[in-house]
Amino acid sequence: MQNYNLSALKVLIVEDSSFMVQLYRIMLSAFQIKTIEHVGTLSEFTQKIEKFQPDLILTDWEMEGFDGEEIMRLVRHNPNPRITFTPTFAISSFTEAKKIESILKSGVDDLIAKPVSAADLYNRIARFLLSPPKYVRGPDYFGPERNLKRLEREKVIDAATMEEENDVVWL
Amino acid sequence: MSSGYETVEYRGWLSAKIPKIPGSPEAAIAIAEASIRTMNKQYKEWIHGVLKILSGHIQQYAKAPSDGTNLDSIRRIAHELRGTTGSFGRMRTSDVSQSLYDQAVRGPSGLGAAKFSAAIKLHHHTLVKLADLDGPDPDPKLDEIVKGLDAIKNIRKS
Repeated sequence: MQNYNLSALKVLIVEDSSFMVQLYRIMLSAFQIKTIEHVGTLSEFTQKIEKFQPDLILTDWEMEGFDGEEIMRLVRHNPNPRITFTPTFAISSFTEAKKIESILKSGVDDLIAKPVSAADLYNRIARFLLSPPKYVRGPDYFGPERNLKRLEREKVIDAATMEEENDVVWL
Repeated sequence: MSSGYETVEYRGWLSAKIPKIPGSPEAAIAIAEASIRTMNKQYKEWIHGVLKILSGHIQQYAKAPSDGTNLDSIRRIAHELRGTTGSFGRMRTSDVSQSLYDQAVRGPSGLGAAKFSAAIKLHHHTLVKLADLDGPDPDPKLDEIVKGLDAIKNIRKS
């Protein structure tokens, strides 16, 4: 696995479970990431995103009172290109094909299946840095082209496929 | 590229900000995993708190099964438990939570209200027993847990 100096990376965690926030903070701190912020509500996110301008967003998908789709709309439709193109990883335990499809259609840069390990999280960050996505815009989608390719290729994505792809660099 | 889509030109800022360095990230990953393993006390406090809330929703559901809000809360809690406990290395707890989630999504259909209510109580009981354990994997000799897990597997089959 490629090694990176991640100390300058600014990470925003979107998560309503304080225990999961602790876990992410431990992982990210071990990766030498110094600047980690956290929000647990949609209004906090709206305020934080403009001021903080993170380099990476890690967002849970189903939270109390809001979800990842709302987060992705605020990111991908933001008029500020610094925010619009913020790398955003969804972290979810959903395994239903329809749900996975909707997560990919939201324009996320990656989807990490829970349970998430430190190795998995580092691997995904490194993979993104090694192979940043090409973005495309269409009538009903804005985000990484590889999401569209994956949706077209598989039509129905199941959890097993998602796990198999964990170690593969997407095309 | 897919038809109807145009490429958006944008140069990311991360490659300049995050340099590659020699060596392997394995040490950093090992530090993270070791730190997580030391959080046993916090884990227990957290999971017992969540299971208490879950118990309240299960009791409310048993009193008023037609009120869908409690079943939805059970589903949401099961979803949280599934991901969080697994991330903490508690894979059996995660599996039972997954099973509870599946039950909550399917609802009483095919089981009947009384049997369904008993099923979700059995899940909760097993989750409490698993939460009381210190290690990530339950001792296979803990008959009660083994019986609980087997019973959960057979709920929809019987």
